[in-house]
Amino acid sequence: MAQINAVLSKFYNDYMSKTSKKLKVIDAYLFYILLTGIIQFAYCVLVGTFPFNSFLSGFISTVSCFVLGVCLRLQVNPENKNQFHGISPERGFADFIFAHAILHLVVMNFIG
Amino acid sequence: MKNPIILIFAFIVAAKAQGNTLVLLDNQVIKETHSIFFKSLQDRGYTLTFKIADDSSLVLSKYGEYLYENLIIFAPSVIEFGGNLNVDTITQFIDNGGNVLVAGSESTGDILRELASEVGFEVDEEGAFVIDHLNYDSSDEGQHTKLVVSSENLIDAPVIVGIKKNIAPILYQGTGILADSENPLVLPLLTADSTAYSYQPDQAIKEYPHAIGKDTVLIAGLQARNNARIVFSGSLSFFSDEYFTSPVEKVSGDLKSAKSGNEDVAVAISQWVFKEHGRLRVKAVQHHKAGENAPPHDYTIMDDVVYKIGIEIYDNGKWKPFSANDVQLEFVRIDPFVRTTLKSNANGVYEAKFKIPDVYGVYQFKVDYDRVGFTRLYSTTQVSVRPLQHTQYERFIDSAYPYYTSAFSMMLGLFVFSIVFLHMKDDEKKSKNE
Amino acid sequence: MKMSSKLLLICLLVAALASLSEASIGGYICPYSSKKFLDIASKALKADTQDISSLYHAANSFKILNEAVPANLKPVACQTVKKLFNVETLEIDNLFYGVESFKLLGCDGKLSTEGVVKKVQDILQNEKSSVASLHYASKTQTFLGQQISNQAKLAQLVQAQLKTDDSLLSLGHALHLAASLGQSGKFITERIEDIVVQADEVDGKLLQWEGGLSTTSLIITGLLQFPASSPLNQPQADKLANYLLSRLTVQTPKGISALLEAAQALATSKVSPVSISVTGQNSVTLDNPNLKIQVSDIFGKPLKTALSPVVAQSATRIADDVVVLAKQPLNVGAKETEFVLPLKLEPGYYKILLNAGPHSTTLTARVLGPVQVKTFEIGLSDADQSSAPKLEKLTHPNKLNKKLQGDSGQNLLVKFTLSRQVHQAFLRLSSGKKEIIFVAGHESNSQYKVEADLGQELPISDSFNIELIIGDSIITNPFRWQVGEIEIKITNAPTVASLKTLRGPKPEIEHMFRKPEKRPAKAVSLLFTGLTAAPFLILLILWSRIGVNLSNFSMRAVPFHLGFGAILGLFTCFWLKLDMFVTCAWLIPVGGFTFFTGHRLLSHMARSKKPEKADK
Repeated sequence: MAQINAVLSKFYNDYMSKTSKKLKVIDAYLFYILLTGIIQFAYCVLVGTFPFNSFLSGFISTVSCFVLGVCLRLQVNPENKNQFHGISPERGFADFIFAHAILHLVVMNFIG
Repeated sequence: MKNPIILIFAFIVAAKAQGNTLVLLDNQVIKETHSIFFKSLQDRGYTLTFKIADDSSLVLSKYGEYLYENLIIFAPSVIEFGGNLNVDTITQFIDNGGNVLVAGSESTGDILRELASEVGFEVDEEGAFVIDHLNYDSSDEGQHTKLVVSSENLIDAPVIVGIKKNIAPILYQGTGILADSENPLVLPLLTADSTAYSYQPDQAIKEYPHAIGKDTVLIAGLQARNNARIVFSGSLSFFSDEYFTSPVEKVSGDLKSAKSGNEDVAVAISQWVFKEHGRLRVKAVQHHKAGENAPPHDYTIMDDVVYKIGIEIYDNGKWKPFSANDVQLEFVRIDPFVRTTLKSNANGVYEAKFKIPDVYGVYQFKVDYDRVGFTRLYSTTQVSVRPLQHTQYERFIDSAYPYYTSAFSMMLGLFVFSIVFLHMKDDEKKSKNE
Repeated sequence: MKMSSKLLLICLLVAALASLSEASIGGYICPYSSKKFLDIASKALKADTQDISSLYHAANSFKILNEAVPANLKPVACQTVKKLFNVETLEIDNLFYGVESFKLLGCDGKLSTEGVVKKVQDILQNEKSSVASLHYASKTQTFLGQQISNQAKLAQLVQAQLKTDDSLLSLGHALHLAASLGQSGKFITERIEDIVVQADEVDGKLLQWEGGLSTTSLIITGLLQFPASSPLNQPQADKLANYLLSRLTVQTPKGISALLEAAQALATSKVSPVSISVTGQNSVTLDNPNLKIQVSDIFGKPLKTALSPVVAQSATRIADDVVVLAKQPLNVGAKETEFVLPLKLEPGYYKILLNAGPHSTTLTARVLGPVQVKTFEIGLSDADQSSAPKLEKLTHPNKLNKKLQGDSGQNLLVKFTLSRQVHQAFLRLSSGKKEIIFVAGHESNSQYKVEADLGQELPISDSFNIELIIGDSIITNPFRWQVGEIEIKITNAPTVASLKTLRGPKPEIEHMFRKPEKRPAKAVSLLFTGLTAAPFLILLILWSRIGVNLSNFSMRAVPFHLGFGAILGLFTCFWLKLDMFVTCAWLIPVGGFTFFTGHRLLSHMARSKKPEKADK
């Protein structure tokens, strides 16, 4: 137990000091998406899947946003520069926006 | 130039006004001894053609078309029909919609027995009378074969025999008929009492009588599935002038009348068997969604549908609105999903309103009206029922608000994030230091 | 009413039981029929008809039956005759009927007969006149009091016409006409045999000519105007009389008049048929053994020459051919035409050969007697004969005092003896509308037995009424005896019989819709709506904790953000009211704009970054 506490607090301290602001912004954004998804899921478990398409649509929207957000964080993290030859962070952002446009069109169609 | 053609058309139409009837007799005397019955038919517009039953020029049809609509056989003792009439052609005539009225007697020939068995009746042997030692008329000649039958023994169907309690007691002398009780199309129009039996009067009873008690049918009727009607009477004298005009007096004294009920029953039966009574037809069928007027291309599940059917009955040469309170509509896919009784209004239009089931498929509006004495009315209309279109589902549902919120929240968050992310200045020095 | 039915029986007795001998007929025109005829004639006189002949026929019927026309009908009838009598429009036969009916009815005044004489003359001179017209014309002339001018010429005219038209109707008229022409009319006698031969025999009992009652009557009356030629022999006359009797239910005045005229002609001729028949029922009882026989002419009137002796030659019991009577003379009865034969015999059917003078006939008579139930036993026995049956004795008309209890392994056993043999001895078990009838087997003389296997014969378990039905045509007391009740339990059978339903309405069906899914309460949804919206606030708080800024903001970015915002706004509109097609249509310009501006912005940002990096 004490070891887990030590690991967690070191992780937290390292995170707070070493991560750039930009990445922290993305992380906060991801956290917000995660919360929204969890709350939705809890709601569905509680009351049932009545408009199933709406539930799926809303939940998938959070999941997909989270995934796209993670992809963006990977692409803009300077430490991963070597893995994304030829793809600048701007390009990553452009892809991010494009994918979101399609995502939200689909979500709006399916949510009913 | 056009007028003669129109005249010819009018003539053909008029000629079919009331049926052409072929009457087969044993001999010419029958035409005169049954004159009241024949006159009642002619007065109602029938064209009677009298021929002797074994006349060699008898034909029912020419060039594939039937010359007659109805056939009366008042020739009980005929051995063989003449011309090209035989049991097969008469059965074919019935299969093509022709109506037949046959009268037998105690001397019914085998050919009539064969014809009767084709339609589901068994006629007793030659020489057998229906005997009833407790219900015979005072003018009986001694064998107790001239029976007085109460009008209570008539079938419960006013459309065939008239209103029972207004009919006087009936005189009958002839042979007995057995009708198959399992056959749903057979109608025992007049049955004998429990003390009656069918047997040769001068022979002692050695075997079980052909017909006994209330199973003894005196006049049997049948409406075939194509609505052709056949009536077989075991007594030719039932239709005679003598029985029509005779007073009735039962020997035990409790049934008396100045005039027998034979004429009333014979006229009513002739009106039924020749399709003057009890003939129904569908005038029009309409169906549409509630609130509209024309039928849609197809229905959607859970629509409110209104179904209207107009039924007419043939009355005195004209089609008049028919009113009944037990016409039912079935909404059938393979099994009926909905069965409801239709409500009638004054014009003989029946209406039903109901909600289409929530199961989609190809359905039929079925009206199947089959009552004793009436022609079978069958009307079926096919409609498709489709499931909801993708735009017909419920939207903006209360319990889905959290999901809507999350989706929009995502969009909003994305928008704000895109602004922040693009325009945020990072702490470069810090990152470099690490 | 009772008398009239019995009289009707006599009137219409055409030898079902009375077989004809060659020399008599078995019926006559009885008062019941006469009354019916007069009723129809009266109706015809009252009717407002256009047919003048019906008035003649009605009046003629009254005359033949020797009845006066009722006083209240005369004025109406006379008026109708006067109204319809029109020399110009009527044919000669109707003119004849008009003048004759005027006379028959005894009308006051005179008919305007001016043009009649001329018309008659015209017809009699005309070579083309039919035999019927000639006949009516000559009769009219005679009626008006004039003599037939040239008898020979008229005879020639008739003969000439007969060459072209010798139908039976014409021959009939010719007979009548020839009879009135005296010597000149003798030509017709050659044809008499030919006419008689053309008669049709029906069933060996009736004789008639083709054309029905009126033609037959015309020919009979015509032939009998030549008694010297003996046109008809006795058998023929009898058969013709039988035909007339078979037509007693004729309904038209013309028919009635024809029938009565023919009957009268026969009755007054040499070959007047003798009617020997039974008065009333042809049955006698042991208490009342007198069989009444009537010997009369066709009208029921006494014969011109009374026939005697009236003797019953023999009476034979039909069952065993034993002769029980021989040569018994009949006693004279109440009327001139009535004779009485006492039949003190055993009950049964008897054939009686009667002679009335030279005429004979065979009659069937029944002697009736009562029947009694001498012994009666009823009980149940085991189907497998394992034990002796227990039988209970009953006397008629008592009932069993308790219900019998039976089951499918038992037989119902009934044994009884009667005082004589009967035709119908049935045992009837009934319950409501259902009935099952057993025929009692005849063991030996008058001993009867019914043994019914309850398991096989009865379809259901129920309580039944037991009834014994005894009937015969020669017993005076057919009866139904309620013997008692029996309760039967059938194993493996339904206790209530399935009723065969007459066609009727079927049960209604209402579709049960699928239940909609349960939805949560609105409050819960709203609560979670709030909870779902909450993370956005948390995001904003976190961001402010991290320290966001918008330092790199430049106006360049505005179009892009606007464009992107517009896309998201378009999607919101899509959710609210647009459909996919419209949305995609809008998406193309808006999306294109956003892409273009975004590309410009990002490439600018990318370029502005590089030089910074290059610097370091």
